[in-house]
Amino acid sequence: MNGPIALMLFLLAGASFAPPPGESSGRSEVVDTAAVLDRSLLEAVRLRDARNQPGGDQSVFAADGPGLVVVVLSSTTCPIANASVPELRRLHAAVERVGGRLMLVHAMPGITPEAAVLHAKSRRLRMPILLDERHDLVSHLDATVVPEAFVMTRAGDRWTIRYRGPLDNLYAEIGRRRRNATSAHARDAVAAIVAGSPIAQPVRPAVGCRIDRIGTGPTEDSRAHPETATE
Amino acid sequence: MISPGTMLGILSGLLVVIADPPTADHGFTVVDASATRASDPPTWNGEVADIIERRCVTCHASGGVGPFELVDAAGVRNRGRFLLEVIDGGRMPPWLPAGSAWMDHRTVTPVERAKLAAWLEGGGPVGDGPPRTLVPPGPPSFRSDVVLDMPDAYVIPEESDPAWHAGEIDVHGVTFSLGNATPLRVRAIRHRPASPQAMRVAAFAFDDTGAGRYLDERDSRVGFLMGGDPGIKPMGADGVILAGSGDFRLPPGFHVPVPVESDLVTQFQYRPTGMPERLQERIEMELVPAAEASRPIRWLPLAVGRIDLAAGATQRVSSDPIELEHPLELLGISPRAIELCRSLRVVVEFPDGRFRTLVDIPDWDHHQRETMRFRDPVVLPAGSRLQATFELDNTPENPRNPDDPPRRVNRGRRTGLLSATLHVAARSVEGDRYLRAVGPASIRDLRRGEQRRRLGPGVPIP
Repeated sequence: MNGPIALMLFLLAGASFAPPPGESSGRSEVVDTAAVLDRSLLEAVRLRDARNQPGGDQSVFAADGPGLVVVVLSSTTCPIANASVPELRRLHAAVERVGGRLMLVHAMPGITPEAAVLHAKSRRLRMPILLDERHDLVSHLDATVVPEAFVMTRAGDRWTIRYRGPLDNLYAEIGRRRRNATSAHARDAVAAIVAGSPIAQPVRPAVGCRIDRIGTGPTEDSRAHPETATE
Repeated sequence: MISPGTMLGILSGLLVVIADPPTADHGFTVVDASATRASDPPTWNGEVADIIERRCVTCHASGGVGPFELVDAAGVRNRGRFLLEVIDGGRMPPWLPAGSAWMDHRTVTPVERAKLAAWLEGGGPVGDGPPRTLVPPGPPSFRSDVVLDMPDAYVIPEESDPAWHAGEIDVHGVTFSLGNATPLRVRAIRHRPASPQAMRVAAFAFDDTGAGRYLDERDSRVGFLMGGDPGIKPMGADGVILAGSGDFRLPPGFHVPVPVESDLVTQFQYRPTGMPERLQERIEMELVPAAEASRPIRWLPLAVGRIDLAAGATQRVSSDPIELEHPLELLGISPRAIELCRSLRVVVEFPDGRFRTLVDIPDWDHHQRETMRFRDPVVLPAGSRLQATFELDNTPENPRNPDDPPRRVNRGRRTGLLSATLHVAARSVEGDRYLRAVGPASIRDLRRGEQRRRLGPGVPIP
């Protein structure tokens, strides 16, 4: 049995696994201090499920779920996030192929389930759509902009962020967009994990729309302002 | 007719290089430090709503070009820090040229920026009374004498097609038949996009040669794939509109001349949004009333036909200079350049040896191009030499480089791969005859030069 297939089955079984050879969890020279997160902390996070109303929620990091989880923080109205939708669909397919799970998490204050579902429907997004209304996950991941992908694997009592950053290099920065992306960073990271090879650059600066964190300004009025879908 | 006041300005312009006057509307104000020191932060109802209404809401409202709305206090607060970032980065409002010689100059002044920051820092208070909800200002007055509709829609793909062609592919051409039995005098053009958030630029060229019709007819789709110029006339020679920026409108007393039986050839430059969008545009035109005197606007290209740039290289290329044989008035400039262009400049050398930078775009973005109109026409006497210079960057550090790693770029375009089209008017019948000839002659020179494989840059003006 070759390495990738073995790992795929491993992920499908939802088991924890040790870091691949040559890539220890102590790569502090490339992984920032937030890269390893306590398993119980993350697995306690439950977010509102946009498609399961009223009041339905689900766990992002299920204790008995796959050992590879990709979280993509996004927005219905950020043009950079929306431009990444085709790549998001490709990433979703790549993650599912290896038995992992991808969740789209809306991080902008004021997002409504209706807007999120409409957005997903119009853009043919089939993955779970969750709303981080209290910024529980945003805080744990210390996220600041959308879109940002977090490719995470479970090992023992912790989740490790193996890659965080943009889905691809479509945008170099705000206002500087390539015609086409030439590198699919998040998909490459998934492929590297499956292949047991090092991730070329585990942390890249995400480019997109800033998340104004709940709690840093007046929030009551913000909640009353739904982030509307643009369709 | 030129007003006496305008004439004085023009005469002054001939004698000295006029420094553009600093005004509150043009981004050269001194920062009012008290705006950031005030003990009471600005309020939404008091000042901030006015700033957003002035600078943002035209696009950032329902149905607008902007991807999200900025019409109430909560919406602005939610994106407050992001707004400051894009303002500080010069990304919003979209406006490319440096300096303040321009009509419709779009900027957030330092005072306005400071007030917005202070408001956010102060918690974003609403102020007295119910919170204001902003409504975008209605479109400016426009008489739609001619209305052109695309009969069917072209579908903008959800993302750019991979680079099967080296050129710019996020463009679609459409030829509208005017069928006019008499010449038209077009004063203004309005573009109504079907999918505002996907639309960036509309470039226009009136064509009576049938070249635009040929482009359309040989393509079975609605319109024709990619841009393309009608013959030797550069696309955009008769105006370029950036979506959301308003109409293309000439100053009173000027018009774009349209010969009988013409077509309007249009190049729509779009930006995929991540979902299929509809491109089914409407173009409206306002004509100069028959009884009104008006002078024709002609096009004068300062163009580089072809570039050959090695992977990883940077290069400065200049158009061949054009020396004017007749005086003219310069009303506006429409730059056009590929993504590898970092910056561009158009310079005039007056007959007495003085220089003036007519346009300086330090951070070129081909998705934000438009016709930039001078507040007051610039008078260029006979003997003036004009030249455009483009800084190209084919390194991986250029974030707009479509190739990563970079590849050699060897590309040309019949009417200029890099160009600055000047919108000019003559001051005499002889001058107009000269202008009618010199634009097409420049393009023919460009083509002849291309045929000779003359790849080097022109002789730069120092």
